[in-house]
Amino acid sequence: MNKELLWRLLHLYPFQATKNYFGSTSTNQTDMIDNVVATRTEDEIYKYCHGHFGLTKKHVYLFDDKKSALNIPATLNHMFTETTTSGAVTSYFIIARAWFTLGVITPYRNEDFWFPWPMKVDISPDGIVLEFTILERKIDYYLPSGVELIKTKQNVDEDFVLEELKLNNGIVWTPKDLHKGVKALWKDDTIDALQANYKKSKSSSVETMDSSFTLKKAYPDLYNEIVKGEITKTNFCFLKDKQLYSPRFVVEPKAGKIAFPLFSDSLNLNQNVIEKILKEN
Amino acid sequence: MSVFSNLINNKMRIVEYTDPNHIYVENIRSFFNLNASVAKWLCEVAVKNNFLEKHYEYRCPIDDSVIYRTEDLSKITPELICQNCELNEEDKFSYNVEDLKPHPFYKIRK
Repeated sequence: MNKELLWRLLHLYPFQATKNYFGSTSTNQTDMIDNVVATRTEDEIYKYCHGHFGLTKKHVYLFDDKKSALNIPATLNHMFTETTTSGAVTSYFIIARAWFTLGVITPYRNEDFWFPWPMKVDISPDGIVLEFTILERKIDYYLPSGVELIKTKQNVDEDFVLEELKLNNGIVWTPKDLHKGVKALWKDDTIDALQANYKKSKSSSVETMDSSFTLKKAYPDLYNEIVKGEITKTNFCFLKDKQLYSPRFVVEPKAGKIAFPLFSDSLNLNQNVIEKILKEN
Repeated sequence: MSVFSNLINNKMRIVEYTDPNHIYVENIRSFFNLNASVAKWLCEVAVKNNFLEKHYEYRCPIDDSVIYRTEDLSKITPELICQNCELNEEDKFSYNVEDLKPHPFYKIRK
C-alpha cells in the first residue's frame, strides 16, 4: 500500500491511541501520522489497525444468518486480511478499499479516490456481525490545496460490501431484530434516550431531548407510549456501569443496526454494548 | 360562568405545562394575554425585584435542541457541541459560541 493510503488508514484511528502505540512525541495528528508512515512498515501499521479496531467509529449490522466460514470476495480489493478464532466465534478482519469518484475543479474532471476501509465480520452459531469503520465524510480534507471538490460518489459502500458477501457466500442477510433487547435495557434504566424516532399508528415522530435530559426520566408517559410500538432510529446513553460501555450509541432495532459515531476510549466498550443488547434480546 | 370557567381552565393549563425552572417570555405572554414586548418587560421587572432569575440557553441550529444553559454569559466554553447531531453524523455538530445567539429564559427564585 502506498504511503498516501497508509496515511488515510491511520487517520481513521484516534490520535492519542495511535500516538501512544507508536511512541510518537508529535503534538498534532498530521505530524504524528507523517512520522509513523515514514518510519514504520506496512505490517506494523496493519497490526496496530487490527489490534485497535475496537476504537474506531463504526456501523454495526447484526444478522440471524448462520455460516461456518466466509469467502472474502476479491471485489473488496482488500490489501490485508486476518482470520482469528476465539471459542465459537471466527473473526475476519479486512482492510478493503472504498472507491470514490470525485468531481473536482478547476478544470472540472472526475478523479478516482481510494480509501482504506477497515471492517470485521464475526460468524458464530448466533449469527453474523458485520462492523464497518465509518469513513471520513469530508473527503476534501485529503485533497491537495487548490483542488476544490464539488461532487462525491462512493462506488464501494456498505451496500456494495453486503451484496458482494451475499453473492460469494449464499447469505440472505436477515437483520436481527433488536427491539426486545433495547426495550429491556430501557425498561430497567440501564439506558435512556437522547433522541427517539418512533411510529405512531398514523404518523412518525421524533423527540429530541435538550442536553442533560433523557427521555424516560423527563417524560415517563411518552416513554410508555413509545415502547408500545416500533422504535426506529434512536440515540441512547448508558446510565448504569458507564465505565464498561460506549457512553452514547445509535440503534435502529428493526434493521439490526447499532452505530458508534464517536471514537471509543478503550477497546471493548463497543463490543460490551453489543453483547449487553444481545443478552437481553 | 362557562366563559369564566373556560378562562380559568386555560390559565390552569398554561400553569400546568410551564416548568418553573424554564419560563420563557412566551409563557408569560400567553398567560396574561400580553404582547411580546410587554411580557419581556414584565420578566425583566420580576428579575430586578428578585422574583425570577435570568438564564440563557444556546440552541442547535439544526434540530433546535438546547445544547447549553448558563446563568453567566461571561463564563462559557468557546465551543459547543450538539451531541445528537454528532450521533446522527451531521456534517456540522460543533459551533463557536459567538456564532450562536443566546436565548433568555427565567427560573422562579427560591
